[in-house]
Amino acid sequence: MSAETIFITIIQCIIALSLLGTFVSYTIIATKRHKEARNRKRQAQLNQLIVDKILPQFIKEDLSEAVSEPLIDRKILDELALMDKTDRQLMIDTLIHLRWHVAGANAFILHRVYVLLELNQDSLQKIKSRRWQVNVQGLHELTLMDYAISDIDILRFNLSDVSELRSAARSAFMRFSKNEPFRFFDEIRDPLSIWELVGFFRILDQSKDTVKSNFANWIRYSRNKTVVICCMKLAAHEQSIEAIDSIEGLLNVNDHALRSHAINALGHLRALHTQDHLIKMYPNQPIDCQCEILFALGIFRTPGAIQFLKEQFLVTYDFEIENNVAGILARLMRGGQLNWTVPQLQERKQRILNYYLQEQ
Amino acid sequence: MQKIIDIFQWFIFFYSSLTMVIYVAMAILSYKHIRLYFWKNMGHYTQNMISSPLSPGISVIAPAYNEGLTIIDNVYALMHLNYPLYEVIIINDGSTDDTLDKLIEHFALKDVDLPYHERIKTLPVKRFFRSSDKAYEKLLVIDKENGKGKADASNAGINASKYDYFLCTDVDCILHEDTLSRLMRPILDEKSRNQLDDIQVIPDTGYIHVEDNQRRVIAVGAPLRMINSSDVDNGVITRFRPPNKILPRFQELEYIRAYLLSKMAWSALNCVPNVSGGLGLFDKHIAVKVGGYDPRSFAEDIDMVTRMSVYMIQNNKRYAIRYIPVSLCWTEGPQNLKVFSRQRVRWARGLVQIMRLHWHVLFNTKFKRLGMVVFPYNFLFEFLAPILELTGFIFYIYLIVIGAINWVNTLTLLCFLYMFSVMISSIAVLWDQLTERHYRKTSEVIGLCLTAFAEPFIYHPLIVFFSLKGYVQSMFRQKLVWGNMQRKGFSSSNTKGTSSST
Repeated sequence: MSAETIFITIIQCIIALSLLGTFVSYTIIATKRHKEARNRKRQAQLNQLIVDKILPQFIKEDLSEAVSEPLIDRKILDELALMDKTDRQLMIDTLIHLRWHVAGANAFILHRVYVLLELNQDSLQKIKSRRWQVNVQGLHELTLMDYAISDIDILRFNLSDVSELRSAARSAFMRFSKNEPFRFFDEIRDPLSIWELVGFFRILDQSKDTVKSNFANWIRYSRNKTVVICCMKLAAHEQSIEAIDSIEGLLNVNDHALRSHAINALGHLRALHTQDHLIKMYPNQPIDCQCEILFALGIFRTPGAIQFLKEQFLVTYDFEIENNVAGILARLMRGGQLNWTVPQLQERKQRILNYYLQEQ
Repeated sequence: MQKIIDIFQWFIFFYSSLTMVIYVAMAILSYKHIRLYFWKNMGHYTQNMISSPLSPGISVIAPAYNEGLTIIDNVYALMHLNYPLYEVIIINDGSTDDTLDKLIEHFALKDVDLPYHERIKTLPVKRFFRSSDKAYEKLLVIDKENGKGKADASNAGINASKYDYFLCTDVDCILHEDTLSRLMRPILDEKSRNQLDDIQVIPDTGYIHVEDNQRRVIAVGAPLRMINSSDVDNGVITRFRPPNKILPRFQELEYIRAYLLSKMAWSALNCVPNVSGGLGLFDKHIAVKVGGYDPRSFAEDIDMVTRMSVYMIQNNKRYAIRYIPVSLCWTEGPQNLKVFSRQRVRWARGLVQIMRLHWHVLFNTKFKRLGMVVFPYNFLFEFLAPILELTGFIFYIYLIVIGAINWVNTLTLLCFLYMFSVMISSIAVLWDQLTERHYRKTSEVIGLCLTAFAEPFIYHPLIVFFSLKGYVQSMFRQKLVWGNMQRKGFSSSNTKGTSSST
């Protein structure tokens, strides 16, 4: 066989493969769309069932009373407990979707439906799977439906190689741990992202009964920078006053990103006693830290802080700082905490201040 | 002579084969990346952001030039995005129609003395407007002199923006309501590898300022799609359809292929060459450092992304540019050949300009992936491709003329190229269907797939022709005519008159 014949044969094979590839693509598109249409129809039915049969229960509930065992008609449960695997997954998705939009007793009813239909078993099966994607899905379902699992079952995922799984495990642990929701901070070797922190905030906001954590130790002793930053933000969000001393210790570190987070947290925590320290360190700071100091002083609103802000506004020529201070001063003036008339303010500064004073 | 013919034939064969291997590799890589994206977004996570105090602020910047027909609907749409902290900056780029008057009237705008710092040099800004109605407090309108292009207006918007990130879009684009939260996620989700080894408390004598060097996502993009035949009501798309007209329909297919196959794969390799001017979220700090968009550039978006990348590499900063597979922006594609030709000629001239301006990056190991992957790919498979196609075409004509052509082999080769191109387009549509199913009917999807069969005969030759025309114009330094992009407008019934933009 000559080289040319081999070459043409190879090309013909590729043509055949391309044809096959095109045909397979069309088949998958058609099949997927058909399945999707069927699922959509089924989901609409399930939604309707829940809206017709279960949501009226919500209205009947007296939300002022704690509901320990909401009553759901056995017939409805029988009607729902019919499902094959796909339907069960659709049901879980529907419940999760509804769960996002309700709280309190209504959320508890959805949780009960989830348990009574034994959908929790499906989710528990998922966390036993060998595929990390399925584990993540299971953990999410259990977390979002508030179905508590033991710490040990969650903590084993903290050592996984897959960051998405570790992240899902942390959220689950935080939701379900009764004693110390942030214990996983001790074990974290990888960095946390701001995205995870966004999730932690959401869980904290949704679980008001969570045990208050003491972030001071992690801020002081953790060698993981992202954990320290995360704890400072959480401490500020939770108004954890006991963390102030540890955060104060970070005002003198040489990493200015960390320092600016520390200053921001002190501002949120209204650590008034740090005011002199902040004012003293101000001239030596890079712009982002200076802006955070000004922000903190704007929260402190002490005479000393306001005086410093006024001085900075008069002397600075940096556009960013000028605007920052003007915004803070204008807020104070609008709130009546500051009555400031400056006879000889530069025209440019006067215009900036006026702009922020007029801002809604 | 025969030897030259043989060498050329083998060269073309290997070039085409290499292109195809790259396409197949990209298809596999993009599939993996798309799957990973959806696994990561399995929960309702963008909703976490909507109520979070940690969501960073974003300035949405949208230049407008003679958009009087659709401006109000478009601005309303931009004001109703699902995100807790953002502002909308509309830059009236010296419109000669009633764009500004309509904005002033509808949004009760009044002149304000905005503190404006011209960090990036632009043509003079005349006035700033804010609404006296609290419902529109997010809106800032800038009136400036016409800068003969989007770049100068966008730069004015960047100068006036107050947040650390800006989203650049066209005012006639329709954005998905979750655009901001979805685009912001890759920025917040990028993990540093830094530990606390350098936490040392230093004596009172002074500070040693140490910046950490975690990987910074400097730009994020998402697929753009054609809106030509879709139904739009008050700035919201109520029914998605593939374009009926043939040119926008081809473009729809081209966009799906470019975004879902190519850019997703590049994103997986952290080698994204460009974030589209129609929709891109940028790190303002870095964009300002490199001087923003270049008003002299014909491809200002690729140019700025390249300069941002070069800046990061030269300053030893780790960076990433990301793409997400979810379509978030719909735009009206050129409907007629004249407008289409202008657009493609400009793109081709932009590519030549980029190659000329950043020639030092090509095959330069100092620029790492940018120099060894992104630029070589752009040079070999984007810039050279039309030239090689023309050469191949002339070569085959020559063979026919001298009677040296082997018709069986030639037709087999053409069939091979044709079928491969059809398969790649079909796979791209499949990937699109795996991500989101915008089209209601299966027949619409299959119809789009079938367009791929006509593409190599109609659309591809046009693209090659306009690219070559752009190259020739570049060579002779002809003045580029930006012209008007004739728009049908899509407010409510999709049957309005025309508006235009540069």
